[in-house]
Amino acid sequence: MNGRLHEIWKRILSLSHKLTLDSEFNEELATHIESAIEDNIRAGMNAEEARRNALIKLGGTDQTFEAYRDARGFRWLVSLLGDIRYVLRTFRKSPGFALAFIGTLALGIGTATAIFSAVDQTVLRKPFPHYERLTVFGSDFPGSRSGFTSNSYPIQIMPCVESGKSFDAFAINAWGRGTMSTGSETFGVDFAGVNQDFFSVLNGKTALGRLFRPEDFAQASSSVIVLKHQFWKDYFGGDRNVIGRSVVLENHTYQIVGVLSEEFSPPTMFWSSVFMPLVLTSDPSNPFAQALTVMARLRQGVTLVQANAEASILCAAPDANPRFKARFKNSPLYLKWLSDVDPSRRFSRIHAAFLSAVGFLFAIAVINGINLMFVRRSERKRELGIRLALGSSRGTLMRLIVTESFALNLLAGLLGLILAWTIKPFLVNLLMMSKEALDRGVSLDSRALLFAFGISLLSALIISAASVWKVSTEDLQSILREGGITTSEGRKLQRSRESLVAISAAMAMVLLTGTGLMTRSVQKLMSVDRGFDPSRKIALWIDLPRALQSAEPRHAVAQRLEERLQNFPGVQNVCTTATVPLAGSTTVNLTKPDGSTLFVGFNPVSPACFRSMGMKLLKGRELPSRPEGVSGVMLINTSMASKWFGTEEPIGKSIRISGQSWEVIGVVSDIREEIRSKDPRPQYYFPDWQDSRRSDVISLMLDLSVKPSAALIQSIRRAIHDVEPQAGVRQPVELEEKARTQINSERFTLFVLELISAISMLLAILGLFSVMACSVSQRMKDFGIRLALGAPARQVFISVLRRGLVLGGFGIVIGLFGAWALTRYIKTLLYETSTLDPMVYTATVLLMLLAVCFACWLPARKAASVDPSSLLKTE
Amino acid sequence: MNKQKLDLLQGTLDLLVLQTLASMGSLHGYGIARRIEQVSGDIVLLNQGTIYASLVRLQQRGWISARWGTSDNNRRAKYYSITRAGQRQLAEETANWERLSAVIGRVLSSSEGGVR
Repeated sequence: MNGRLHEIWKRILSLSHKLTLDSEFNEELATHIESAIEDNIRAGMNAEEARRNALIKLGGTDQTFEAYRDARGFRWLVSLLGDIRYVLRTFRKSPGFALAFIGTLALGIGTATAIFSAVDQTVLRKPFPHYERLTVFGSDFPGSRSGFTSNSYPIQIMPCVESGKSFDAFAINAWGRGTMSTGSETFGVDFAGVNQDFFSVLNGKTALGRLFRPEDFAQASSSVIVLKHQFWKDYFGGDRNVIGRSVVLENHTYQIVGVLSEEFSPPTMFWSSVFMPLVLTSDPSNPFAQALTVMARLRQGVTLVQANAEASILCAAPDANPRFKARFKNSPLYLKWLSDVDPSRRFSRIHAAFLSAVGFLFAIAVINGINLMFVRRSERKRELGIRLALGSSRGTLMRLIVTESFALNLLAGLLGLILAWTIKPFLVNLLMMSKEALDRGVSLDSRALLFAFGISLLSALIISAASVWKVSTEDLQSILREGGITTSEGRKLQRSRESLVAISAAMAMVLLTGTGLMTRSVQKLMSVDRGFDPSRKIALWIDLPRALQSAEPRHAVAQRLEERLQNFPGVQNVCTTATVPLAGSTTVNLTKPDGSTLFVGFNPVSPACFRSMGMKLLKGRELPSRPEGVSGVMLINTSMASKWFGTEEPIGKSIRISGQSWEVIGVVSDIREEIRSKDPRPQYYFPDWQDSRRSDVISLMLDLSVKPSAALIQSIRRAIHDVEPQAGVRQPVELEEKARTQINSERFTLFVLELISAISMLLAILGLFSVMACSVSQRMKDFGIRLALGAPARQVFISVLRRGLVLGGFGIVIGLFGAWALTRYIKTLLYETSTLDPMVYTATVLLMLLAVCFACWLPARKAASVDPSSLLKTE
Repeated sequence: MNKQKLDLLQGTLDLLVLQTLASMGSLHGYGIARRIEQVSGDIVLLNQGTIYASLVRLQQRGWISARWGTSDNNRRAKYYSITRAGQRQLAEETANWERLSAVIGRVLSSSEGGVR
């Protein structure tokens, strides 16, 4: 076996120094012959006879050489190298063809690779080990957007962890928020206690330091924390000396032991930035004390139904208190697949649309490739005919064609990879549609390389099959009979090229229509009236220390903050609001007098908020700034007014809110937070001093007079710190940005579709151009004769243009049908846009016609400007 | 020259070359060809050129090695010698050959009145 490998290796090596070997063998052979001659002379022959005898005995030098070479190297490899050399030589001779071909295919392959690999990394690939076995504990939560909440409590989870047979591992996360002080600065953080398996289930690795060790979980109250990469960069400036530093979090001192790697990207329900070891305990008297988010990995072979059956026995709230039982009576805890809970990684219609669009683009590129090959074939017909006549076998010719096509496609694949390399990181970010992804570098991995290689081979196969089929059906002998001069291209070849061009125009047309519909949809989304202007508004969350969390001191702090910031330079208006529009909501189910329930949002606000939010008071009066009676007051929005009171006059009526009766004193306009929902959420507002609940956070909405800048934010933070040094200020959120990210998925879809359809359009038009140009240059003599016979140049011009338009027109008509058939699949991606939007179709057709004219213009000009005398002279 | 000459069986040339090198030590191509002819009493019909294909084959399999040297008539010549792997191979092939020829001999002698 070893000898065999050795031999193969030697054979390959010998290819590389073929020349030296040949000359060496020449010398060896010469020695042989001389020695034989000398022996023969010694045996008594004369010189002439001796030489003849020596050569006869050898069996001829040429034959010996041939046999020697055959034994020495792979014959086929030698001939392949010969073919490749021939192909490269022909590229050098006609670089235009090679460049056009490689450029076209590289665009197709590159874009396809980039998009495939972006989709692959966002949704096709498993983000965590054993992703298909990961489930989430939760219960139904009617009224919320997903209808599901992934909250659970230790009293439910602990039995499952301790004796569940269906589970392999758990990722348990106990979420909390609070202030973190580094000594010099205080800020608000989301932290989470996590169990020992948390990071292994979620594939967490460190960039610095370490993760938790078993002994960290042994102590009753552990004091080590691990930071998320982004948090470390934002608040510690990416300082590598952070390991070992102490911070105060919620009055405990913790030591930072590790920083997670950038790639750590847990499902969105685990959003915390700081992690600490969690030891699960449950206190039956206060089961709600600690809410958990729990992911369970099922044991291999266990079905979701089996796991749920076990969970329903083990994790039902056993002898918990009545409140607990009441909460879970109608919505018991159960398991859902993680892939159903975390939609960001789900393969959606957007991804399907991208992949099919890029498939179209690739098809157009391949069609163009075939077309270019056909043009080349017809240009080289004479050469091929001569080769055949000189005894080249048809097989050899086909081998040359296939070699040419593969060489071209692999070169194109290589170039395509470089192209994909440049555009992909940026595409992945678009697809992930999140800031975290934007900050993460993405590399072109082996799957992308494999994909690029695969589709290069695929296009090579298709293109060479098409060209080989052409050559095998063509009667090459007749070419020579035609006289050798390419007077008129074969009708059949021309016809197949024309239909290919029409098909690629049709496909470009479909893509263009899809893009047009998406453009329209995004336009409509951008122009939705939200009833609220988010520009230059920021939301600031301020975490409070425990002592300031109850209603009284909190209101006092809020009031002082408002006063301090009211006249702050750069700030136009400031108000306190429990929830900021576009940045979260608090909701409640209210029972109407008739017994039915209404799901409404509520928001304790300071009176200044109505001005800040730009809401209009439609009826009644504004919220009072100070308590004015014993009973509570509220404002309701139009939507709540109509849903609660119908056509009745709401002012002066009262609504029971948690046991109290509040009077409706006014009606304000609606705010549309969820841009896609048809009707705004019913919502009521009440003065913040009326809110007696405990809360660990104050949120402010600031209406700025300038664009928010880092310096302004910094000075605002400092001002807040001056008013209340113990308060932790979080990174502000710009509402305009929030509003924009709501339609991110549409904008990014549009962007990618624009990219793909622009490239396809370009390729389709180039294809049309090349067919027209080629047919014109082959019919130059016809045009010359027509002009010589007195046809006006304009007529020739128009005849060429008409031919192109007929061709393009075919493409457009087929494309219209295609668009009609295919755009229905992106219907769900569109906002208030019909898939048959007449404006989009008209615009697309016009654009295509324009492009077709553009592609035919130069060939038509060339045909019309031919000089008959010079043309006839060359005959 | 009325002796009847024998055509070499396919694949046996390699064996002859190996055997020659094993018994003679280092030889150049012509030397090997001559030696085979002499040993066979000029019965073997050898196209001397085919020696070289065989030499390349054997060399690629690592059974013989080559180096440049000077011949008796003062020319540069390539000298071949058998390697250890070649000796192993030769032993194996020889055993094979003997078994095969014994079997063939038996078969031929058992069929009486065979074509002569």
